[in-house]
Amino acid sequence: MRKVGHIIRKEFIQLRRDRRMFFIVFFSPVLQLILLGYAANLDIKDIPVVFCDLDVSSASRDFIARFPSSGYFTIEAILDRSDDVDAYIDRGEASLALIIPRGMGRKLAGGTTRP
Amino acid sequence: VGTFERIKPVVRKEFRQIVRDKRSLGLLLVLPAFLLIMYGYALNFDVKHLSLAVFDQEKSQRSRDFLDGFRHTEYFDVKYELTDQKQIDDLMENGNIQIALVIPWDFSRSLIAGRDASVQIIINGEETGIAGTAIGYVNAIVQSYSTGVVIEALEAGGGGELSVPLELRPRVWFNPELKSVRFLIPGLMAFVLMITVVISTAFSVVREIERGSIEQIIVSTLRPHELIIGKIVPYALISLVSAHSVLLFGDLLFDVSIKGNYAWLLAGILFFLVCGLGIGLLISTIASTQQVAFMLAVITTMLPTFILSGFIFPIRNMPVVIQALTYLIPARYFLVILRAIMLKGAGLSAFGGEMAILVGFAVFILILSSLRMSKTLKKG
Repeated sequence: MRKVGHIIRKEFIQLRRDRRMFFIVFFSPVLQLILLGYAANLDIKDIPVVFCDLDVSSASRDFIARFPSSGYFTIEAILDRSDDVDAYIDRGEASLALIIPRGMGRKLAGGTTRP
Repeated sequence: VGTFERIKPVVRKEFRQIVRDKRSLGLLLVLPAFLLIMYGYALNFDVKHLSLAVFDQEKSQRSRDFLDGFRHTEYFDVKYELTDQKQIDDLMENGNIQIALVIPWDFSRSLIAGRDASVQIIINGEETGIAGTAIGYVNAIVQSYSTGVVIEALEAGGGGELSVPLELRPRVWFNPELKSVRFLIPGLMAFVLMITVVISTAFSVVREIERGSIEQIIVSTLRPHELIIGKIVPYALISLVSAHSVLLFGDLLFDVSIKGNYAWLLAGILFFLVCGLGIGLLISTIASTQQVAFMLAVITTMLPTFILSGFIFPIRNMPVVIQALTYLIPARYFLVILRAIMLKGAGLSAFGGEMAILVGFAVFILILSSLRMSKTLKKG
């Protein structure tokens, strides 16, 4: 038992002598927990989305306007050509692109299905 | 003697030392592929086959129809049919189920009467990711059932043939089946390479100090930056080999092939490796012993590369202060490049900025470790 006690004291003295090791052992776990605890977050909010409004009607504007208020989406841009969508997705500036086809407003009023 | 002539013997000496130490050479070549395979199979965010318990108080045709929506999908497995609400507590607590559904006794009566029928859904929120996804699935099933009921009622009331006014036709690019492994593999590659590379050079200077062989370097005409470059070249070549074995296994086992330009990918990998090797050398000039060097290498690479690089946790949702820290992590830039080339097959416009920063980072870290090295050499 006494021998173990000596070794423990020796290890403590060595640890204290090496200031860098001392710092690593005592502060880094706390520091890491704090920093990474804030960073590790899987909740998804503010998803960047681009709209491509080919309809340009009051119905399509109304539809688009509902997205930001949910808190899950932020509108990155509203485009008028569907070709422009690619660049936003490629550069990672948008995770979602919603393309509203021509005639949505009219069809909605008429009651037939539209993609 | 020119710089190049002075670097050559350092490279040769380092190579010889690495080759002589069979164990660390093996580690350097095999460990990345091994880690990729192990983590690749272990990490999986696909939420499927959630265990479900059903307490159907009504047991009518309608309630069965509704439940069919849960039976005919791979997302849920109906494991238990309960007869008592209390059973849910036990099953939840023991982890036998993730979701419980309670259909009230007046389910179809409310539907027929046009009142709101309420279905109780209990979800185990221990694992928030799974719970969130599960709620999404449940919502979709409930929505489609509700729409069916509404349309049925309207048609019965003489509305003619009806359909849903707005239909969503989602098209998922780059990962059509939404397999989480395709999203994770590039991040895993960065993670695995960063760790092995930093640890491999973290010992190299401090070892020479501990052995005393640093004295020979001090009396030689070598300049600090020449020593740094000489030490980095062999490790860069070896880790380039292991990077390719990682790419190969990613393709063979996880079906993540290189969609885009290989030359750009190679450039990205090379600069990323140099960043890692430079960080390792910098640690080596700071650390007093090999033990400290190892600890510093683990602390500065493992968790930061795992958590602050965008590997798993989206950077844009982090608090601003933490977001600022992510700019210090080379894997952050490398990941954009990797994903853009491997998954999207995108061109330089998608990752040019990141590539430039990675090059700058590599140069900066080499200059910094050269400066530290000259201090170490003067101290002796």
